Amino acid sequence: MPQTPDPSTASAVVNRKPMMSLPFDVLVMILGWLRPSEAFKVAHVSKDFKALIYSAGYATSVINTFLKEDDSSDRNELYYFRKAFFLAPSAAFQQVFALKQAQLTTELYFGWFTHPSEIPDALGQFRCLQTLDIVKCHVLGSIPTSLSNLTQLKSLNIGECDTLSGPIPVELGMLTQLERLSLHSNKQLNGPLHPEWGTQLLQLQRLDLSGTAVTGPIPREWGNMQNLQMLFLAGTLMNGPIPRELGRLRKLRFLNLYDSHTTGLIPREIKRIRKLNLNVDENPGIEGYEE
Amino acid sequence: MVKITSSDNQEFTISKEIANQSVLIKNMLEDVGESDDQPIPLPNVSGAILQKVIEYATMHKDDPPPAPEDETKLKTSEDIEERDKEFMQLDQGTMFEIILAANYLDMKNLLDLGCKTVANMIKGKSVEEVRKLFNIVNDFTPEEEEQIRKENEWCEDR
Repeated sequence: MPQTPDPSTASAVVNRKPMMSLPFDVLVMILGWLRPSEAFKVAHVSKDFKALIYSAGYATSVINTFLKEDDSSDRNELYYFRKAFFLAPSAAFQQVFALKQAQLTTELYFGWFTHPSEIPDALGQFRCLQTLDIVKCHVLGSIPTSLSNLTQLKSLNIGECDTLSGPIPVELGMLTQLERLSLHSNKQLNGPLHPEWGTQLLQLQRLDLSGTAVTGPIPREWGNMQNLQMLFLAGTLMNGPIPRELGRLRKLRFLNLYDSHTTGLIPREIKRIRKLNLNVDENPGIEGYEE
Repeated sequence: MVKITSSDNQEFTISKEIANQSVLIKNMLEDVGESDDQPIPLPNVSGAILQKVIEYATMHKDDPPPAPEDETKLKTSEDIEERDKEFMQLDQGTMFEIILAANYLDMKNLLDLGCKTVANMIKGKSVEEVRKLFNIVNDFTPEEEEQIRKENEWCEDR
């Protein structure tokens, strides 16, 4: 039997309703009026409160409040949301943002973020992306293999991120549209140079891995990258000779192997490439040109 | 005129233009047709709250239809009319009840107003202040709290 409340006490009962007893969908609607940097800042109020802000519900709500469905979102607003995507420690936020923005985004630039964070796995969902730059960020962990889903990428530049580590994923070879691949000046980025790329990255014009900790020889297979104009491997931990097959790269204009532990004779096929700027300085193991 | 009854059986008679501000009631009226003078039961809303909701709807009954969104203007929770600000000068419990009622009755403007008002209460406050304001108990260990605070330091560098 529903009781008929005494009108004089009804409002007193009502007044005791605490915020956290509101239904989830109402709470995320309220929090949806706080931008990510305003909401995550107070996430440590309590466990429930944190769960709300880290939820996909909050992400959906705040994105619906401040961003447009089409590409007419305010540029500053978009900048702050992209920053939150990169830095907010919520996989749900990153997932929802990627899902909502993937169709609208062909270029992403993340630069000068001093707060430590990993490269979001959800970045791999931006399937229309043609240009991706991550520059001078305090990136922890390694390059996520999910980036191999960005098959429209023409330019990938991850540079000057001192704390980025781990091997360069061989899966980047699936980015067959790449024209520029630059992972330069990431001192802790290591691993071998992948022979597979020689049969995959056939559009590549510029490949820059200088200032990384890559090891091993230049793969012979790279002689198949017929569009390659610039190959920068200076200041790496490579070793071994320059493969003869690089002589097939007719468009090659710059081959910079400065201080790269390269050894042996420079093959005569390399010498024959017209207009090639070759820098093999600071490699004590180089024995000069092949006769 | 339209009759509605609250969860505690208070009956209100309101004009149709006021009733129509609730999408829920509007749809119900369309379903039952004009002739039916049975009161519409609203079992999720108390009389006291319904009275406030009607007050809000009455205040806004002559509002022009919403202008197309100004593309150049940034959306913000601070964007609240003065009379609405006054209307929301309520104790927290009532405010939350109004938000719940607006959600149930499907009154977007009132729902936005309520949500913006609460969001504005959180904005710019310290965590300690938010806890105090909404009577939320911190159930983190100091280590947990510090970790979450730290992983969100990015919010500070704009």
